[in-house]
Amino acid sequence: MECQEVLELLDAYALGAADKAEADGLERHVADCIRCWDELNKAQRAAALVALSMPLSEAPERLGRKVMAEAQREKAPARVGGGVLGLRRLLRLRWPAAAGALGLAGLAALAFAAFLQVEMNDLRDEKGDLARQVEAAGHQLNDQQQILAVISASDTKQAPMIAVSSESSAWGVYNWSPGSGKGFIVCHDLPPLEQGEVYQAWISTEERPLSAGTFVASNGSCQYPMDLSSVRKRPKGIGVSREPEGGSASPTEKWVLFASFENN
Amino acid sequence: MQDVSPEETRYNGLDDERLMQRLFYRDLEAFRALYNRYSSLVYSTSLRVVRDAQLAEDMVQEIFLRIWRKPESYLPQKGRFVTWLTSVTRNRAVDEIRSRNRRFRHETASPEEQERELPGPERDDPALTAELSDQRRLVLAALSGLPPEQRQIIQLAYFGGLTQAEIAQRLSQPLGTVKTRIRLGMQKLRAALTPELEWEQR
Repeated sequence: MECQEVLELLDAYALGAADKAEADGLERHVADCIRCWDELNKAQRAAALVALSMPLSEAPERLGRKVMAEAQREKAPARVGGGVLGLRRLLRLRWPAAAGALGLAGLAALAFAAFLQVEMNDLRDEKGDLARQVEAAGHQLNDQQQILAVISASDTKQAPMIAVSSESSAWGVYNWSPGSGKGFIVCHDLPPLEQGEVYQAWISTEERPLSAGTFVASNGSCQYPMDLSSVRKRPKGIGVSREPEGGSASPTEKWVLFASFENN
Repeated sequence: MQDVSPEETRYNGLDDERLMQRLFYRDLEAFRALYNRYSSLVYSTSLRVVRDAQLAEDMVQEIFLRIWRKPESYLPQKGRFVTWLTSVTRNRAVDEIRSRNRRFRHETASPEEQERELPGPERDDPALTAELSDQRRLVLAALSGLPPEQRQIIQLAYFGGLTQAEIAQRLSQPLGTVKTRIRLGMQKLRAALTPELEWEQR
């Protein structure tokens, strides 16, 4: 397929309206042609926006509950298609027919292909893991940058975070910059969590507490960034509670730690 | 689904890409915010293509759980989250009707029905972010500005999952006419959506 032919086809392809032979030809071409690849990207982005012209119907409420419950149930990300599976599939599907047709050299080549398949799948998995690690590291960096920005702000304030239970030795400090509304919790000696529990941070207001996300503590210590800039009502304080994994809509137990803004 | 207003949690103030980053930490609140923001769009797109409420629900569940399990499937450098999400949804829905078509004949909407379903800009979802509502208005205006015969073919292709040859057959039009209308319609659409598409490339 030549460039001109591809350019004439790419809008139909982006809309999913090219037939299989056309789509195959276009895909082979754009794999080697940066100009057509670029044009295809533009067409695909425009086509994807067509979905926004939909009349919107709300998804049923029970579906939302089902999806959230399932997400909560799953702890680790699922991995699809490992190397061993790839090898098994290759052996099961291709080996008997190919063995009859090919000589020893062919068998050796097939074995090598199987080996390459395993290697490829492993590499693909590793790539996924690395991408995850890079994203996680990027996020940690963002958190650290926010903490640094709070520490170095000219208006930084601190409020002690106190354990509500007299039996707890947990303690901490909430640091924040009133100007930016950003801050972070530092805490120590938090009680160990049970299996399936997390800590949840809260912004306490005149009405009910607003969730500020969940975290786990490393050896009872934490550094957790907070953002109060979008909270319109004046916060009364910052709290930390123990909640089931995934967090709760409102605190189920009393505060593990609480910092009051009353004197600030 | 818990209804969360913008001032209720800081997650609603985060953009899609930032919420997706938080999924790498298995942050359920971030996932909830994404679900609240986009479930109606994913549900409506699926429903429009497959025309079966139960099947559309299954697809919403499948697509969101896939995001939860494999957040790395979205690559921010390739474009915005919403564009990626709508493509994933539409393609998955079309695969579903094509595989059903192979098993038994499945009726897609008639061209007249497809045409009727173009909504007015007033029908909006309050859960959508202001930015997304703006985009929606822009796309609706761009589609409304197309000649009806071009708009109809674009919608049949995108939501009906039909190939150019199938559209030609259904509308009893020459294949060449269908191809030309798709090209012209999409060129105009791209021109009208230029600000959006440029934003994507930033």
